[in-house]
Amino acid sequence: MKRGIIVIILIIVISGLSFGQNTASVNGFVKDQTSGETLIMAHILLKGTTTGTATNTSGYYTLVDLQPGTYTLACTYIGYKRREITITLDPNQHLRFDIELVPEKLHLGEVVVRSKRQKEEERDIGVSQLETRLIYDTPFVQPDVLRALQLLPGVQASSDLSSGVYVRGGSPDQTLISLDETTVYNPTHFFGFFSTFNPDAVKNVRLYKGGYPAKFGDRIGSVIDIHYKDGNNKARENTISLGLLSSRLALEGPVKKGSWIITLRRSTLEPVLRTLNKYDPDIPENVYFWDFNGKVTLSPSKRDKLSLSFYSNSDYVKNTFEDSSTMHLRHGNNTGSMKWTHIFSQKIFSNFIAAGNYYYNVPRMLEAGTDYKRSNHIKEFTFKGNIEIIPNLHHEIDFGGLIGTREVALNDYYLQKKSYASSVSNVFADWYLQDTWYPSDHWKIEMGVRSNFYSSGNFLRFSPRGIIEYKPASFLQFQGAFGIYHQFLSLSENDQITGFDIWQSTSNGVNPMSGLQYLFGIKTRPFSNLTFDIETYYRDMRNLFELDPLIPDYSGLPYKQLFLFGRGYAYGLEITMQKQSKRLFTMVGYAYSISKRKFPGINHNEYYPSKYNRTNTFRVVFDYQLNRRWKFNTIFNFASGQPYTGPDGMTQIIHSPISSIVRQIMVINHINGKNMPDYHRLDLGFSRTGHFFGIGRSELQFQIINVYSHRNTWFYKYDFSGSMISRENIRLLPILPSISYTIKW
Amino acid sequence: MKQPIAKIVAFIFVTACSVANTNTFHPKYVVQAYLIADNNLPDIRLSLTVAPGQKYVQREVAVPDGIMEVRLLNEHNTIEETFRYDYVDNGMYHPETAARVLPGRTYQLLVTFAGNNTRITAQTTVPQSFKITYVPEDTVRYNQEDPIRMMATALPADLNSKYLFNVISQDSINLTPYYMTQLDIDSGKTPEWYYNVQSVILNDSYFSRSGNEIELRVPWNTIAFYGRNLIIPNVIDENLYDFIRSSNTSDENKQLSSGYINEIIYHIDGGIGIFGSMSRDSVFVYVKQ
Repeated sequence: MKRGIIVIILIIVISGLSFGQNTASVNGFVKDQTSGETLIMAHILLKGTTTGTATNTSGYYTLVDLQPGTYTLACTYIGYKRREITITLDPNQHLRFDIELVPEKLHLGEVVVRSKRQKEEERDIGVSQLETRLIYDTPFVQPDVLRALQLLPGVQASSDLSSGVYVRGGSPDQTLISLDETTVYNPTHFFGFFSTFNPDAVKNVRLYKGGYPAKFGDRIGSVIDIHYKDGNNKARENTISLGLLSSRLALEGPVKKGSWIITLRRSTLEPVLRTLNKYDPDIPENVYFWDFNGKVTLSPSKRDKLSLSFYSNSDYVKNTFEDSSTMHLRHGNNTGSMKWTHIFSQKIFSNFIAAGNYYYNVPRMLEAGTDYKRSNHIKEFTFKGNIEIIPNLHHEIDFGGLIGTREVALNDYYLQKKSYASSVSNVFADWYLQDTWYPSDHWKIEMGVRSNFYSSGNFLRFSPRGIIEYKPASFLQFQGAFGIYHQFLSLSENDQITGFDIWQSTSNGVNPMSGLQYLFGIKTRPFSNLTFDIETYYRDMRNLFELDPLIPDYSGLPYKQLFLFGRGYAYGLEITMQKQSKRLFTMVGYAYSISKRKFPGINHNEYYPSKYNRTNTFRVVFDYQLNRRWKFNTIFNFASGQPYTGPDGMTQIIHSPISSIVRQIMVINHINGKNMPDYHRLDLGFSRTGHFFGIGRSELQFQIINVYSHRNTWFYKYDFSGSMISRENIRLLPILPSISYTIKW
Repeated sequence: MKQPIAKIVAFIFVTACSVANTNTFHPKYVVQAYLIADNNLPDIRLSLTVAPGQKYVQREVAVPDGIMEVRLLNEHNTIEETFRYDYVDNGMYHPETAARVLPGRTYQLLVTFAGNNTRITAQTTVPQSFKITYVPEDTVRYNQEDPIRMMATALPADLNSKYLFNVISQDSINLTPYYMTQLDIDSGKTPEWYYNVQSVILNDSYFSRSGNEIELRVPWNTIAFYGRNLIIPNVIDENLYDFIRSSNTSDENKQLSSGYINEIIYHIDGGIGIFGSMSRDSVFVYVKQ
C-alpha cells in the first residue's frame, strides 16, 4: 500500500516535471500592504487566460507550467483593492513574486475577477468561508467568531446564550476546532456565552460543514479552521476595546525580518456580579475569564518562515450557595507551537509544526464539609508536517502526517479520597494523501485517504474521501462528495455549562466513532454578483460513545462500563443565496435537518431526536454601506422549536424505607418527544467609523437585539412541590440595546 | 445549576416566566415494593399515573382489583414458594401470610387482572446481609476533617455492591449549618426530609477493605441535626440502584429543568415503579457541635 502510494507520487511528480521543461512559473505570498499580514484564499489570475489559483493557509500561491511570455497578474481579495501587475517570464524562469494588496475602505462588495478554477474552489462542497468583517458587523453584545458561524445554514446554536456550534446534526465534539493547526478543546468562556477566540487576532475562519478533505482528521462531523494573524510587520498598531462584559487589547508590530502580536481579553463583569451576589447568593461571587495569544513570526529567508505562538484561555467561577456550600469551576486550554514553513521549490511547499496542548477542567463542590472534586485533562504533544506539490496545472498533491502522544485522564475525589482514576495514554500516528485533479475546465476530482493509528486499543483506521465536481456551464456547478471519518475522543457535555464537560478517549473495549457522509450540491451563479446554492447531505454515525450520565459513582468500574454506546444519523437540505455588490451584502439561508440518536435502553431502544435538532431554520443577513462612515445591518433568524423531554404523566413514591417523604416522579414516554415553540428574532445594527482626536481610528457600534422583543423559550422548569407538576417557561432575552466603542491607533 | 446562570444573565437580559401545561396522557400501572433482607415480606402498592397537570390523590389512583402474588424462585429460576397478597386500602396489598425475606434469593412479582390479559411482572435479587461490627467513634465532632467511619462485614467484592446511607435524627432540635442555611425561615417549618436524609450511592470499591471487613464512610452532608443520629447503611439491589440514579428529582430538589429530565429505569414489565430490595444494618452516632 505504502509503496504504491510512493510510486503514484513519483509518477505524478516526475511526469509533471518532465512535461514542465522550458516552461516558467511564478510563486510567492499575497500580503496586506499596510500590515504585511499574509492573506488566505486570495485569488491570483493570469489575465486573459483561465489559469489561476488561490493562496493556501500560509498565504502562498504558485502558478506552474506557464509558457514564457508577458502576462498581467491580477490579484483580488475581498476587502482589498484589486491589483494588476505585468510580469515577463523567460524559459525555465521561476519567478518569486510577493504581491501586496491595499485594503479598501468599503470592505464589502468587491466584484472580483477570478479564474474558473478559483470560483469553484471558493464554493467547494460543504465549505463556508467566513468573512472576518462579518464577525464585527454582526456582533451579539460582543463580536464573536463562533456566533458569526451560527448565521450559516446548517449551523445551529443551543440558545441565544450559547456560542457553541452544532453542525449538521452533530454534537459539538464532532466538530474539530483547529487554531493555527492546533486543536482547541475548550472553545467557550463563561458557561458558553463567548467563544475563546479573540476577534482582534482572527485572520481567517473556514468551516467545513461536511465532506472535509483528508488533511483533517479525528472528527466525524465538521471542521472549523481558524488562523490567527501574524502581526503587523510594517508599523506598530494598538487596538483597545472596552465593554461591560469584557475588554480587549491587541498590540502588534514589526521586528527584524518579522512581526509580533499579542492579544489579551479579560472579563470585566466581576464588580457587577459581586454587587448582585450581595442581594442574591445564587449569583456567583467570583467569575472571571481571560484568553491570551502571542505570536512571533520571522522570515529569515525568502524560502523560510518561522513562527512561535502561544495561546491560553482560562475560566474560573466561585459560588457560595449557602454558608457551608461552595462551588469552584476551573477550566482552560493552553497551547504552544513552533511552525517552520519552507518552500523547497516553486512546486513544493511545506509546513512542519511541533505543538503542545494542555486542556484541564476541575470542578469542585464543597458541601457541609463533604468534598467532591473532579479533574479531567488532556495532555498532547504533536509533531506534524505537510507537503504540497503542484507538479503541473492539472494536479495538486497534498500529503503529510503526524505523530504524537496524548493522555486523557479523569480523576474523581470524594470525602478527601480518590474514588476513581482513569488515564488513557496513547501514541497516535496519522498520515494522509490527497490529489486534486483537473482533467479539464469542466471537471475537478479530489481523491484522498487518511489513516489513523491509536496505540491504546491498537486501532488502525482508513478513511477514504472523495469529491467530484462537474461544471457544464459558467453559471452552473454540480458537486458530489463522500467520506469516511473516525473519531477517537468524545465529549460528554453538560447541557449549558462548559465547566462540567468531560473529554474521554477510546481505549480497549471503547471503539472509535466512525461516520460516513454523502453530500450533493448544485451551485449556481445566475448573475455575476449573485449565487444560489443547494446542498443536501446524509450522515451516518456509529460507535458513538459518551459517559453514562446516570452513574453516581465510578469507583471500581471498568473503563468500558462508564460509557453508553449508540449510533445516529442526520440528513438535510440547505439553500443559500448570497448577493454582493459595491455596498450591499445579503445572505438568505434555509436549512431543513433531521438528526436522530439511538442508545440501548433509552427511548425503548428506538431512535429519538437529538436535543440540538431544529427541523427548519431560516436566516437573512443584510449589510449595507450607507456612505464612507455609516453602515447598517440587520439579521432575522427563525428556527423550529428545539426538542426536549417533558413529563407525560406523574406518580408519587410513598412508604419508601429509604426516604421519609412523598416524592413526585415524572413519567416519560419519549426522549425529546416534545418541541419548544418556534424561535424567531430580528436584530438591527448601525456603525460609524471616525477618528479619535487625531490619534487613531474609531468605530462606534449601536445595536438593537430582538427588535420586536419576542420572548423565545430557553427551557422549561418543572415544579414538584405540590401534588401536581407545574411548568414554568423560562424565556430568553427581550429587546436589548447594545453599544460599543473601539479605538485603533 | 441553570438557575444561577439564568440569574447571571438576568442582569444583562430580563427574564420572565409563564405557566403552561401539556396534555396527551395514557395512564400506567405503578408498583411500589421494597423487600428488606431478614424482614417480613412488605406491603405492595399498586396505583395509576396521572396527567402532568392533574392533581395526585392517592385514593383516586389506587388500583384495587389486581390479583397479586410474590414468588420465591430457586437457583433454576422456577417457583419454590408463592405468597399471595390481599387488597387492603388506598392501593395497598398485604401478604396473606408473614414470611421472612431471604438474603441472596430472587423474588418475582406477578399482578394479573380478572377479565383481561394485563400482566405486571418484576424480579429482584435480595442483597446479602451484612453487619456493622465496629464504630471507632460513637461520638464525633461535626464536620471534622474525616467523615464518620464504621466497620462492617464485607460482601463479596465481585458483587460490586451499591451502598446508600440513611441518617435519621433522633433529637431533631439543633440543625447543622448547611441545613440551617437552606431552611425557609418564612415557612417556619423544618422540611420533612431533614429527619431522614439519604446519601448519594457509593460503590463497594470506593470503600477500603481489610480482610473480611469494609470501612464505610458517611458523608457529612447527610447530618442534618446535631445530637443522636441513627445511621443506616443500605446495600441496594440493581432495581433500586437504577431507579434511584435515574429518578428525576432528589429529596431536596423540588424543581427540574427540561434539559435534565431523563427516563427512569424501572425493570417492571407491564407498568412502572419499583420492585426493589436491600439489606441494611444501623448504628447510633452522637454528633456534637
